[in-house]
Amino acid sequence: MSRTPQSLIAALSQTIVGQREIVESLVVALVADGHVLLEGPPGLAKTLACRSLAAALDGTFKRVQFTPDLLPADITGTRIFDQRTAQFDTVLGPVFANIVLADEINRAPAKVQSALLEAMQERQVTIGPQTHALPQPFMVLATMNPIDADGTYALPHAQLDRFLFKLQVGFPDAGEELRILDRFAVSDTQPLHGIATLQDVLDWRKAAHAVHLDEKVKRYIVDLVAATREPHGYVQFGASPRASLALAFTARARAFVNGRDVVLPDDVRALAGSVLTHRIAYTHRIAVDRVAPETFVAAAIERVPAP
Amino acid sequence: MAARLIALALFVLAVSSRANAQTYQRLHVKSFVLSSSTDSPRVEQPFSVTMTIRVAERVTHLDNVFLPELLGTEELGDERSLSTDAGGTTYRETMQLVAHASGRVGLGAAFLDAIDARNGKLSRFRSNPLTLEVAGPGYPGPGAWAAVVSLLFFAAMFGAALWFVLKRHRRAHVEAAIEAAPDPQPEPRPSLETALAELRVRRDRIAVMNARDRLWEEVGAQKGQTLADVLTLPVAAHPRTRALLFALERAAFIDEERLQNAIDEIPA
Repeated sequence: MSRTPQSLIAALSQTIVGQREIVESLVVALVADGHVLLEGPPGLAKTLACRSLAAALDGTFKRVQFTPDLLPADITGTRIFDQRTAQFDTVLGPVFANIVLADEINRAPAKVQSALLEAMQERQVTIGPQTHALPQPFMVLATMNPIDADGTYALPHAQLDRFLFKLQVGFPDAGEELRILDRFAVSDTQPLHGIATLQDVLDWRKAAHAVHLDEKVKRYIVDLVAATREPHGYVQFGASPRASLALAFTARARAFVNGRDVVLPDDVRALAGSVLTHRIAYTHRIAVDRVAPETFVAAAIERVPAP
Repeated sequence: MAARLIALALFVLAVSSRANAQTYQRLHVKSFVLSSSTDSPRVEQPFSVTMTIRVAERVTHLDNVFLPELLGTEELGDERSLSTDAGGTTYRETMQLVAHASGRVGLGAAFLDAIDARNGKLSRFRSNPLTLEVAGPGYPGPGAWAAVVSLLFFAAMFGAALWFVLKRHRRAHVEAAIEAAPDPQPEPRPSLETALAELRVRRDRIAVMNARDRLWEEVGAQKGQTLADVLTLPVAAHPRTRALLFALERAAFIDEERLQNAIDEIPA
């Protein structure tokens, strides 16, 4: 296996300046076979990151701009009657791609979100009488804009749970922004190609499954998830066992991406915030007190001692 | 709920109508105290509750003073006085009360509505509330309770002293019976190098964890931290320490099949 996840990270970091953690998390999610929800203001290279990831893998990439008038068939595909053949032809929707960017997912109504999220979960789409398997690897990268909340449809908790990670995309620092100016002022970015193949990704996934997860680390995962269920004025209910599974998958993937054959407590703690924050149902008090859920979860993580 | 809303509406109406009809004094309220002649009045024995308001202004009267709710007591009389001096005015109102039943009586706070001279806003000043224990048949009052508590306290102290004397006496007998032995010393903790040497001999998970614990202690790491935390410590910057940290961490969490290989990779 000559092409490694680290080479993919290094190549993506050349294109996407100042978002190293986001790039690493995207590759970890790719290896863990999960979907990612990216939240951040416009102009922070969220779309560029997704497009670059697809290009680097020589995979297919589709972008769907979610709008209030979008229909489920606009995502999954539909059947169209062909008058010449007097038969219905199936036209596959943009969800049939290796990397699908669902831009501003919260701007479409619930039935459209459900269509996409069902495809994410089942890895197949039924159009008319036929069921079509989605290509492998298949990864949805959805974006949400924390501002301009008017006219948006908040994702239900059950649907948020289908995203492996929710990543907060932050602003670059001054040095990184200078590098962005230098790079983009002269010419457009060079598209990445052939950094890895789709088959490499499938091989990485198999290899990540073989990474050892010790009993002590498993216990740490369970304790971390249990910490989100402790009674607190901000918590309506904590993360589900699906969160424990997600944390275990991603910790294995992170260990593999970092070239290790064993999961360390570090892997778990580094990912716990991104895996747990969106899986907790919060009370209104957290908003009233203007406490960021990320801050609350970080404090809960700090309270649990690592093995 | 509906009753509460109606009451609130009536209160707002009352306040607004009064605000239209009345003018408020501009006052700098320095103190507003409600006190009682006794904390434990007796049933059917009169006692007095005094409301004292001290303001910085020299005024001839105080408007918009509201007496406290006197639930559980009957008011026998009321006496007001107002005195001024160079520092302001003191308003005092003394109410003669009597309680007809024993038990706890709570007197709510008194109020004064005035324009606060400090910020120019209409404000409601409040006194402290009062809680009295009315003593009578079937209710001994706080004095009697205190006597009971004191008696119990002295009995407990006497018992503890007796137990202490008897224990000392018994220990003296035991100590005399056995031969004096040297004080047990804590077992010296093995150094990191000793722990590593032991690891190379024993080659098992317990020895790995012992060596890892010793290394973490040596670099100043806290229990419950992760390797990422430890690597930020200045001592961890040393190449050998760093290599040891990584190798021991892998050996600590690797599966049994690869444990021997992981132990082999620990730097000498």
